[in-house]
Amino acid sequence: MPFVRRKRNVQDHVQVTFDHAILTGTGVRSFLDLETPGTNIDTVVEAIVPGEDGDDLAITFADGSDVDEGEWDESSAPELTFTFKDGVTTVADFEAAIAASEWIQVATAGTALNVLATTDDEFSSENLASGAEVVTRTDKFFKATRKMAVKRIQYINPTGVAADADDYVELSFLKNAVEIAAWSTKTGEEGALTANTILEPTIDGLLAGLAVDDVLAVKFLEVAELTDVPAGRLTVELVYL
Amino acid sequence: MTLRKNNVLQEREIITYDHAQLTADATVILFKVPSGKKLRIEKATYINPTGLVAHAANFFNIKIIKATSTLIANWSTETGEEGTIAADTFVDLVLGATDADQVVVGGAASGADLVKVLFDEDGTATLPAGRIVIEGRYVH
Repeated sequence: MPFVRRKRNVQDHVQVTFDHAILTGTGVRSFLDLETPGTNIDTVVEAIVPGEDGDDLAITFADGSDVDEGEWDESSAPELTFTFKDGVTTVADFEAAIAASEWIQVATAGTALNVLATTDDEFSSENLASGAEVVTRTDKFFKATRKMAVKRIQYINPTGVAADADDYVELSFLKNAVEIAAWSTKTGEEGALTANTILEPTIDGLLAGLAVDDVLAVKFLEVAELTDVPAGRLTVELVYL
Repeated sequence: MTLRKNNVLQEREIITYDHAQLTADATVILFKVPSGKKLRIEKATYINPTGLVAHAANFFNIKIIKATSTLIANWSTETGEEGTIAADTFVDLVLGATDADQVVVGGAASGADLVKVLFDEDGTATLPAGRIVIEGRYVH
């Protein structure tokens, strides 16, 4: 005798859970190879803080210092200026001068004994480039085998992530590549992932329907200095259509 | 979208399991069907973010089983069988041919009420971390 459907229960809802692993990593630092605008100066410098904001940093090299080692000035940051003494100041002097910088650091040391010279090593307001936030991971966790709709999404992170204006994480809940819900810890957005507290991102009802073979995923976007997103758990409540 | 009015609502179950990297056989009990109920496994999907290329000698056979070895569904990466698991792409495990094998009866003896996954390794294969999603509904 074939098995027949059980009619007494009317629970056409199911839950899918997904425990995501810790997410580590930082953004990409902006950098500038000083040999490109300069000649003798061949140090590669980079922003200390990863992220796109590093692209705002700009460096000027000027002749005219009375000090043999040259002078570093970041009082007008993001405009940073190094004034050198023609024929005396070396690459090593420059790298020593920025050792205490709050903005940039040496990414690749240059030729220490190269001597800086007027014209060759003078340039104005050269921006660092290529800083980037980082999309570190997209986890696919469910494929629809029938027509369904996402009714509720719950997320819990036992450790939590504080809200911050610059260092934050964005969680995007995706149907295929389309975002159907999101949570950002950026100040002014959804806010902190409070430790050990269930959050319910708002679902875009127009996008919540799933066709057969649609895939649900969660995308993590780490921004700037945030170094990790602790492990957490996602629960998606689905209803069959 | 609205609920289908002529569809008798069903009591359904979704079972998920995220496994770590494997280099040897492993059996994991995923779910015990409650006594008095019968769960019919209708779908089983698997995703591996890294993937595993088919191989004639070094492969994994991912089996959803009940009792000790009754096959409910499987995917083998052996050459000539289901084959490669493409990276980050869901595959549908192949359901067993026998309808009754897909029904797990609550309260059954000898572990026949348990839904298990058997990662059956051959040769020297390494299966990167992945995820299984099993979908079933309760039947009479």
